[in-house]
Amino acid sequence: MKYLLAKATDEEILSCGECGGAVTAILKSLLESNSVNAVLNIEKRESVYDGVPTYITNSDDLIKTAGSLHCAPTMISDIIAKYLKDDNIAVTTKPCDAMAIDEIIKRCGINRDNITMIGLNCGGTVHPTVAEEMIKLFYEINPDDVVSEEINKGQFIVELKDGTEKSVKIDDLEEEGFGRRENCQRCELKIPRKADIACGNWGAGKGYTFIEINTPKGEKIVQKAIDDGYIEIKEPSEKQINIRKKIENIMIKMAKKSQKKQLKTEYPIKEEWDEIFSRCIKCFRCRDICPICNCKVCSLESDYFQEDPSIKPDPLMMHGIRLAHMSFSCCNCGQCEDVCPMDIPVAKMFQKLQKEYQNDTGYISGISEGKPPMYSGEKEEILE
Amino acid sequence: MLKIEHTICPSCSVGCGLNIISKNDELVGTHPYKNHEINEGRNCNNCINFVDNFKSNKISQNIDYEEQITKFIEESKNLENKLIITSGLTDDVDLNKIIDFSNNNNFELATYEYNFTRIDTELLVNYNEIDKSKSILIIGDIYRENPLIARRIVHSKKNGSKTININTEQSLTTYNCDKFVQIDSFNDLINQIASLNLESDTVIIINKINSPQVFNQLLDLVKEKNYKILPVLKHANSFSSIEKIEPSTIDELTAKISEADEVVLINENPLEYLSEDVFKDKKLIVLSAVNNQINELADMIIPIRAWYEKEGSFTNAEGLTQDFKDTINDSQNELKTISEVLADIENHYN
Repeated sequence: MKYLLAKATDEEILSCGECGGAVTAILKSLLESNSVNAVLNIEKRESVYDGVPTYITNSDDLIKTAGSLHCAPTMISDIIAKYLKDDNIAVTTKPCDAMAIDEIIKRCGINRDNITMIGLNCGGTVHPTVAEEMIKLFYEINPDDVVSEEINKGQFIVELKDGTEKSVKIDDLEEEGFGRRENCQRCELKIPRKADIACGNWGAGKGYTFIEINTPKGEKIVQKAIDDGYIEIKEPSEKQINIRKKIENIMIKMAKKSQKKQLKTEYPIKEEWDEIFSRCIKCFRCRDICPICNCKVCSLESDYFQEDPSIKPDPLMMHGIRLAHMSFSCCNCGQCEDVCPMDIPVAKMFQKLQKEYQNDTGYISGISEGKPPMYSGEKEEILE
Repeated sequence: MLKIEHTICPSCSVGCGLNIISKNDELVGTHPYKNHEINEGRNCNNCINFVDNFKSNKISQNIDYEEQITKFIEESKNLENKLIITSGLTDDVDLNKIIDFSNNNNFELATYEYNFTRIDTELLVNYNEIDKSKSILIIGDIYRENPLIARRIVHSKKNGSKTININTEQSLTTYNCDKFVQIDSFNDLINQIASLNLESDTVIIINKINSPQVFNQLLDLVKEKNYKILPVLKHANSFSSIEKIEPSTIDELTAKISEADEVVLINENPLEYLSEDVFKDKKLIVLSAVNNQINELADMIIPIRAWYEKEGSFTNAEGLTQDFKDTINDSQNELKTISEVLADIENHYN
């Protein structure tokens, strides 16, 4: 059983969940069977643009996390590493979450045995404020009228309060600087195969979730959900498996095209980087949010790296050091760029270097087995 | 139990959104609030350091309020001149209570707002207008001290705006502006601006001024020349504080403290701008959520809830009022809010 199609048996989950609600049903199965103590998932708070990581111990609350949220570019791996390291939890993981978790596990920051990873296939996320503006401009509707959204067949589709749908081609949105976050456009990992199972709608057909089982643990949790009546399953046809593969390949091809554009053709030249770096305030937000940066003692805080705040910043003293320390493990999650108060395109710089490293060593962050070839064991000692 | 809840940054007056992470009802960290219209998930060091201070320096909940308040009343009943000093760190609900309390109970009320004064809201520029402005004059170091406003300037530069920085010294803002005008003193500010022949739709962003007189002259110039202005005030609710309480200058505040027998500090640490000598021989009462330098001088410390443990609102530099909620929601929390402490004192008076 490698691939299967599944849907929830619970009517409420079926109506609130995305493509059959299998993810919510499996999480419910895990929680109610005490296989995990809690679930970390993204909850829709005030609107579809307001997704917040939420820790759930009562299975009745899982319904609040049902459905997709493409406008919630969150990262949960650092939350696990910082605050939930010893908890036995199930967590939904986008590909970048799964890659980051993998890199943290390699650095002894998360114990893989403690987490059950329910992977979510992902074609990319949209920054919430960008989404609201784009919905006003391109869809000519009030963003507050949107009750759900999805990305399907190259379109960003929104469903309105009155039940109608509107869609615009993602290519058209992205040509105008809207649509998915730039790092998502460049991301080649669409199916998180390091997760125990990877779930999504590609190839699934209406009302079903396509599940790819990646680990023996994944097989067990799916079987348990079937046995306990949380999900119903059927086998996907050869055609459905091929459709999914085809969609994945198209998206990878699009990502490579975006990489060429953003990391080569339109990549800032040295003079432009000089200007960009002149506004770096060395607030360390990029470091703090980075799921890969896990050292308990950071070199950047050493006295000899401190600068007079009134002088023009030297990029080598901040970004140069970070590049040398962790760019080989950058998983292009884009969080550094999302939180930079000065709009410095940090993720672009880090992914470009990871790609160079990948070309030289074959190591793909968050995907390759083992540690990066130049990885220093001292990091683990620092952690311990 | 881990919780992540929205709040408003309590540090400066920009009004950024922020997510508070709590575990087992204790603040443990922050998380980006990406759907917040002002900062879109980006926070600066002012914010993170401010919150971190609550992680390490929070005053403990173990207090007998009844005993403290009785002692406070007993010790201050024969004192004649009583002064409350608060700040823009205090939210609107508590600020209103402080004003009522001081009026009803013969306390003089003072604030120091770093020489900024009340402003005609018609002169104010909103943040989105900064993004689109073509000419910006920056007074002070906005890039280092208020980065989320600096980000708006970065956006305007991408749209082709021209930027000038005026300050007494070079700073990060200087390196990011087209032109720098160095002044020896802020007393030269108005003449220097007049000599720049700025375009009529110029936006002036300022976070540093030497006196209310010079600030008022600047406001007159803004009005006369049809400029727009954004004073980036010191604290999250300084806008409201200035609206509700006439701010003092350093000299005025020093004089008021000198005349007082008892000084009650509410959400304020005057050692950030005054020397500790001015409090010599004064009865000093501190209402605070965190331990800081001034607490060491205090005769009595009354702990209060931090902003993230209560509901309230802050009005930011552009005049936008934003509500925030109790991010912890701990029914076992025995700490009282400023309003509750003042109400308890009034109950004893009555």
